[in-house]
Formats: sequence, structure tokens, C-alpha cells
Amino acid sequence: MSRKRFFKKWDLAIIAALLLAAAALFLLRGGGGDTTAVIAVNGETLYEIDLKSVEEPYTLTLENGVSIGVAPGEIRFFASDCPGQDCVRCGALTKAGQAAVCVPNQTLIALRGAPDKRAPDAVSY
Amino acid sequence: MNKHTNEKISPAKRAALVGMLAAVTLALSFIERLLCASLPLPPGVRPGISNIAVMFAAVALGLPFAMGIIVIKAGFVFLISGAYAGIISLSGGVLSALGFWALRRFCGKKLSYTGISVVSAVLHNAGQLAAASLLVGSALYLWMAPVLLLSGVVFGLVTGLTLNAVLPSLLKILPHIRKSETSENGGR
Repeated sequence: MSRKRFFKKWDLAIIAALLLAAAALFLLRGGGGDTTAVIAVNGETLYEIDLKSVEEPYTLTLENGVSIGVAPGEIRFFASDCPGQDCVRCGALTKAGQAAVCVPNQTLIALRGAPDKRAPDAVSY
Repeated sequence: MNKHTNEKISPAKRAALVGMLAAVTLALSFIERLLCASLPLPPGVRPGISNIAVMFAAVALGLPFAMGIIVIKAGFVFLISGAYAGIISLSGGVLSALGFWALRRFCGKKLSYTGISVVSAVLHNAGQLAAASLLVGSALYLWMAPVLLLSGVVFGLVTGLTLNAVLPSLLKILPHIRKSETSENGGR
């Protein structure tokens, strides 16, 4: 029952590998820069809103009854008839790459970073 | 090893233990829900502390009993948050328990519970994300995968270290389990 009970060599190797994989995924996804909000229902993109050009907060009610709050620089699930209310509890999305979802209503909101500001694939000196 | 263990526990004791662990699992996930409201976590990220109880069940009683607790938990989520949430909970739970069991069985000498728990937490998130992506019909995984992979590693580390820390005390209370545990993991 020494320290080896908590960490063995292979534990650290697996953790390092998973962290590297996570870092790679973050780089692939990009982020930063301008944020465009995407609202999709059942895989179909219904709205794309440039959050920078939003001046006054408003709510958007979709056909499935979900209402989405849009404000300068942020978007959120405002109200939904789903039993869990996880989507509303997610709160406001403000950074590129963030997403929230209401599974019972098949509704996704996400913030996309500007494509041209994505991280480079490789940097050489 | 677990077969050997279970023979030593009477059915009544085993049933009581499963019931208690199921209750602990539900209580932990309820507490987590309360705590998460005030923690600055990104949307969709939860620590998964109730997995400590599920993992302990897998260690103490074996995979079938851990699966039973996962089904009970998913049923609870189904009642509270609806069918979709129940399916997502079940999918994550089953995948993580299978991963936990397989790694413990086949890599138990090379990995401690810390590493096993990390992989298991990542699998939990992967199972949930896969189910949610299918149900939503959107490429949800593109958005959520990086955050969920990172949070799986971080919180898997937390739950794994906690399991390692509490296991000796729990095994002291349940002496019939200690034998298989020490013969399997103790010497290394």
C-alpha cells in the first residue's frame, strides 16, 4: 500500500495520451475570433446569427416551442417545455466552440469561431 | 476473482449492499446537481462523482451488480428528467462500466484505479455524447468532444483518486471482500 496504489507508470501514460488527444481536438475545432451563433433543429441549420451585430436583446421562438434568447455577444436557451431543463440551465454561450443542446426538442445552439482565424495546421520556423 | 468473492457474501447481505450502493449513487448525483448550479463549469460538463459508488460496486460485487445500479440510476433520471435524459444516462453508464470492468480484468496489474477511472470517465462522456448526437440528429460531437474529453480526464482523475483513498476503509467494513482485493492488487 505505497504511493503506487494511486499512480502507476501506465496510468500516467494513458492520462498524458488523453490530454494530448484533447489538445488536438481543441486545435482542430478552432475558436476565438468572431462568433456566429448557429441554431439547428434535427440536424438542419435554421439560423446563423452574427452576435456582434446584435444590438438589442430579443427572444426567438422556434416552431417546436423552444425559445432562444439572443443578446449582444451571447445566446442561450431561454425556455423549453422539456422535463429536464438542462438546456436552460446551461446558461449563456459566449465563447466560440461552446454549444448547448435540448435533446427532447432536437435543438442545438452553438457558437462558431470565424473560419479564417482557425489555428494553423503546422508552424515551421 | 469476483465469483470467488460473491460466494462468501450471503444473498441477503449482497442485496442490502446493492441497495445501499444504489442509494449512495442517487444521492451523490443529486448532490452533484445542486453543486453544479454554483460551479463555473462549461455547459454539459459534470464531475460524475456518483461513479465512485458504481466503481466500488464493480470492485466489491462484480460487473452485473454495477450494471444493475446503472440501470436503477438511469431509471431515476428517466423519472426526473424524461426519456431522452434516461437513454443518455444509460448509454454513458453502460459504456463506462464495461470499460472499467475490462481494464481492471485485463490491465489490472499495469493500471491503478486512477488510470482505470480516467478511461472509464472518458468512456462515460463518449457514450453520452454518442447517444445525444444520435437523438439530436446534429453533429453535436464536433462541438462537445474536446471539452468532454478534457473534463473526463480531469474528473476521472478526481473520482479515481477518491476511490483509491476510500477503498481501504470500505474494505475494512466489508472484510469478506478484502481477500480477493489484496490478492489481486495488493502486492504491486
